[in-house]
Amino acid sequence: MSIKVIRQGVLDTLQDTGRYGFQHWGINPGGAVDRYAARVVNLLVGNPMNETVIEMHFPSGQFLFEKDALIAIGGAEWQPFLNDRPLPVWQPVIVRRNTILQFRGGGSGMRGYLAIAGGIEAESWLGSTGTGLSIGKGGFRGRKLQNGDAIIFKECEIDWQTWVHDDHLLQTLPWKANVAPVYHNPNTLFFTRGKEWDTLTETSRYAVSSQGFMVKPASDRMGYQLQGPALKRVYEEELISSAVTSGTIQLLPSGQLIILAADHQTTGGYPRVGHIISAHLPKLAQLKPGQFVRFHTAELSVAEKLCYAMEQELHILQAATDAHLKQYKCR
Amino acid sequence: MSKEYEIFSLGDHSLTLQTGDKISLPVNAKMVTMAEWLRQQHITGLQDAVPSYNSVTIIYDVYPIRKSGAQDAAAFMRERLEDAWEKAIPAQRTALPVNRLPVCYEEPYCLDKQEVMQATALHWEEIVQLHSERVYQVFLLGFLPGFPYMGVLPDVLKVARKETPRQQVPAGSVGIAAGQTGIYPVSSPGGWCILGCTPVPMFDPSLDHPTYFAAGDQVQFYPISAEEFRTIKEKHRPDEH
Repeated sequence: MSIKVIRQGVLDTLQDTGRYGFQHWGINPGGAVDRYAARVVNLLVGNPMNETVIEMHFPSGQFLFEKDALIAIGGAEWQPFLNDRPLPVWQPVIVRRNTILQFRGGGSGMRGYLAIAGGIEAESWLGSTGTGLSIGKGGFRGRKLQNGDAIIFKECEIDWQTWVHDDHLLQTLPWKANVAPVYHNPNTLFFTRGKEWDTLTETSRYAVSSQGFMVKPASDRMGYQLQGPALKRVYEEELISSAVTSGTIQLLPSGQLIILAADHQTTGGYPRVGHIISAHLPKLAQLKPGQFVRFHTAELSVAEKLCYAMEQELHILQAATDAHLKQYKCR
Repeated sequence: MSKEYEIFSLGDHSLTLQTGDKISLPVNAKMVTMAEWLRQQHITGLQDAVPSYNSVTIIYDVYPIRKSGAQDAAAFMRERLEDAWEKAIPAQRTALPVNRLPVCYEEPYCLDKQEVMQATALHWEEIVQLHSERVYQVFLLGFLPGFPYMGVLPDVLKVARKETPRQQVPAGSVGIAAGQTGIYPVSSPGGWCILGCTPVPMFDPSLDHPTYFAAGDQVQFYPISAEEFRTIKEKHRPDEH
């Protein structure tokens, strides 16, 4: 019937791909910070892209499977274990009841994702099951997962139970996602120039494109705070607040940068230096505190092409997985 | 003739149309109308249209737009914004009803009474009268779910944000800063000077329309006693089963 949280993690929540259409009410999109990873793990087990997943931060929780399940894990490069057996990532796996899933850290990345075939029962609010932590709505009772929580998974239309070998603790299915191109060069992020880019001094513009910036520990689901050279503007003018979105790079009065993530405030009045391109948001989502990042400018047309290409790849993966599932059924 | 507006990208999935560089009621009314109009048009890929004081931002999904045949999603959306500028005409302002909202300006809700009296060199009664006699416009909702940015405040009430923001401002707190007034819908950190508190919930996630206000609304405050505050608050308490 469910997965039980037997040891809670630091911040494990139920998320989907976001709550869009309510930013004009001051409600942020929320959802998985790495929407790409969340969609890939869903597709691998035959779910719709926006099905609810578990988003984990390290150290993550320990989960007891009370029923057999077809799952996929992706995102941060922690090593998942089922009891004491290492599990593959970015690949569908059948796990047996009464086994315990846990993660050992060390690898790169900040957020892990777990999808379950059929999906997860979750509270929907304004059309999304993403956990809105600040207002306590959506997901699992609007909060992070705690000891003893039972995450119920839904009936799965895929008849994968018939594929189970009785004597196997875990069974890996023979298809996987190749995510390497998306996470390639993890420390380099492209951005398009923002409205106030030109108001930076020439030295500061050069610094943004040439120097490394460190991700500060205070970074969270709201945004990434960066430590780098103090940036200056040619002139200071008060800006009238307007809407901001995920990936917007703002210049704080201190001269430091902040990049907005899923739980960002919906409006802002800080200068918009740039915007991380959509195709590099998955890399941004996986940056760890202490890690260094470099920025390169990109033209809007290039950014849009890369964004479209990434989305196309996801649809190709969806078609390929569906074909695999059908084939597997016939064997 | 100079251009009436400019359109610029906010990354590869958003565009902003901005007009002028001032906070003004008619400009804001135009932006609110444009955003509503855009949300009603069933535009392929449109995720949201967010009005601000002098701008409208549209947030969109590139994939369905290009899939539907447009070679350039940004150019496609730019045309929709230009369309909205031409076609979305605000209704007559006089037709809008004024929403009267109770505010208790007494202890313990007027957290920054001393600070504001000092900054304005006015008596508290004058401050309360000045703050509550005017009809404000809700320029936009932002910062927090349902936080209304309202204006314009009389010049004498223009106080700066607090140098050190409060760790926790109680839900319902009515604050002023930078020529505007606003209400914290939920308890949160905040840097505005707090004059009082409203017992009416500004945000209720159990409702289909969870925010009390929408951009464009007209608002006037009226002072109530601490006693009345508690009575109204009691009325709004969710049923306990």
